[in-house]
Amino acid sequence: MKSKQCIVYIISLLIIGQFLFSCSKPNNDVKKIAVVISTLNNPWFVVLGETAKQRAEELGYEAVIFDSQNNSSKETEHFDNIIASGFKAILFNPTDAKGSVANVKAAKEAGIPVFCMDREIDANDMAVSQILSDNYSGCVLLGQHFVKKLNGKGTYVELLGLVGDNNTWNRSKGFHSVVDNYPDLKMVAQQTGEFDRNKAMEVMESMLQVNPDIDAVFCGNDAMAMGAYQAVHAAGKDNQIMIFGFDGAADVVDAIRDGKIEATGMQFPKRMAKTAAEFADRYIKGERDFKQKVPVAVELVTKENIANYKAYGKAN
Amino acid sequence: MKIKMKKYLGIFAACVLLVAALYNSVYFEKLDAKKEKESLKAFNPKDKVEYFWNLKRDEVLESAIDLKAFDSQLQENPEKLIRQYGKSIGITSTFSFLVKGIATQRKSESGEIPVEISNSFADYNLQLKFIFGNAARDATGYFNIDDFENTMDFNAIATELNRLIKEREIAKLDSITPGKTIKFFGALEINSENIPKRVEIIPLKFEVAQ
Repeated sequence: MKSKQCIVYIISLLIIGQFLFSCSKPNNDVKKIAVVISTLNNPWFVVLGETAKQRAEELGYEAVIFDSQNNSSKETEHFDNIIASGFKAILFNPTDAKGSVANVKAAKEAGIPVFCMDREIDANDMAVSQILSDNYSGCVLLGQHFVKKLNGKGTYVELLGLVGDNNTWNRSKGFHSVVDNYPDLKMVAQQTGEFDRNKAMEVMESMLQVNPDIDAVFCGNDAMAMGAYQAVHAAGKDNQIMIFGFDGAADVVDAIRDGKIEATGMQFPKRMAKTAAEFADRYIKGERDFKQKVPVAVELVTKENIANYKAYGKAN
Repeated sequence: MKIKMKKYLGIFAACVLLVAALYNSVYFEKLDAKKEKESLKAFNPKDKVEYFWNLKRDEVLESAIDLKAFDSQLQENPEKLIRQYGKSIGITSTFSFLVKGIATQRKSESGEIPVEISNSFADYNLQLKFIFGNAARDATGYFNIDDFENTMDFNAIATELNRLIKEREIAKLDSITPGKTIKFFGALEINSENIPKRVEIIPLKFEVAQ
């Protein structure tokens, strides 16, 4: 009888032990995807990162967001950790077109596929695919609208983004490919606002001191457009100076509706992030045939068509 | 006799070696293919577009759809038209097309020449003043985005092609007397979500019709 009791006791202990062991053991079945974002200091990139994470989770992965804080060294640290931690793919928004190539190369050599989102790297054989806004075409549309609003004449300033980012130049070149055809439209200053609202406000304040009579500002993103608006508003020139942005961020969509900002180029961060996550899932499942560059069309948003849009995308 | 035989064998062996050496040090390649390879080596938008303009443009334009047929398909079945002839890059609702047609040269202050098609669904105009955007580059289907290191280089192709169109084709119109019939090849864009009633055509080639 005693021995029977003893056997029951041992079996119970084994079952409890097994249960406790399985609870403490990490779940290695769930694959991890890293989402590396250039900066989370800009709501647009927060949407990009959160959407990528959410879509990866919907597809059955554990997703972790890393913030590079617009710092290439920080980005490299993240990549080192990601490579060492067994992540299966990286959804990547680079800090620098050239500087980030080495990180993508390291991941590739470690067998981790990288999918760029929104910003590209200067290499077409490192990332599996790069899903990017068609910034150039978007700014051609903005340039045409700019010319129309200014009747082809006047003076303006330009706030550029980060000089190491290709998006900065694709936007500027697309805009100038149109505007430079009009000799009566004169750019009187061009300076970087580093895609940052506060920096743009400071730069705009200085620009206004030197060029108080300008008619318009073309900004390389919406954060800078909002910074420029603050400076213009503080100078009491809201009714004189037209402001043009690029992104389709929430505050600028509202500002267009309120007549504070003239127009923006609507990018689709959610579409880009979802596509990147879906590509990563297909890659992990064995697919290898991906286009290296996948541009996503940008649409012009003005007061006339604002009803069709909401922050970061279409209204319906 | 044996010495002579040895001598001939020696000469024969030397000849074989010489032919083998020459064969391995010389190769023949079509000039066309060689030029294309060279144009791809270092990025220079001018060289790439010049190569396309001089050696590939006519070949590409052979696939242009007649504008009258384009217009009737645009009205009847735009989805089929887009599927059959539309070109697009990436995720977009904008499709580009190569078209050809006939117009009448005129002195135009507006910078446009209307293309008249009886009972047409949309109005078509040849744009002569403001040539920008990617329509011409994308409609040719010749340039592949994945062949370029970055999108800036790819966009530089569009800028350069637009410059050549202005400098070489549109400038050519100055020497054509108003009233003359001109044959044109061009590029246009259609948004599948919003089929337009007014369409601009970027000219890629003009000829005086016989």
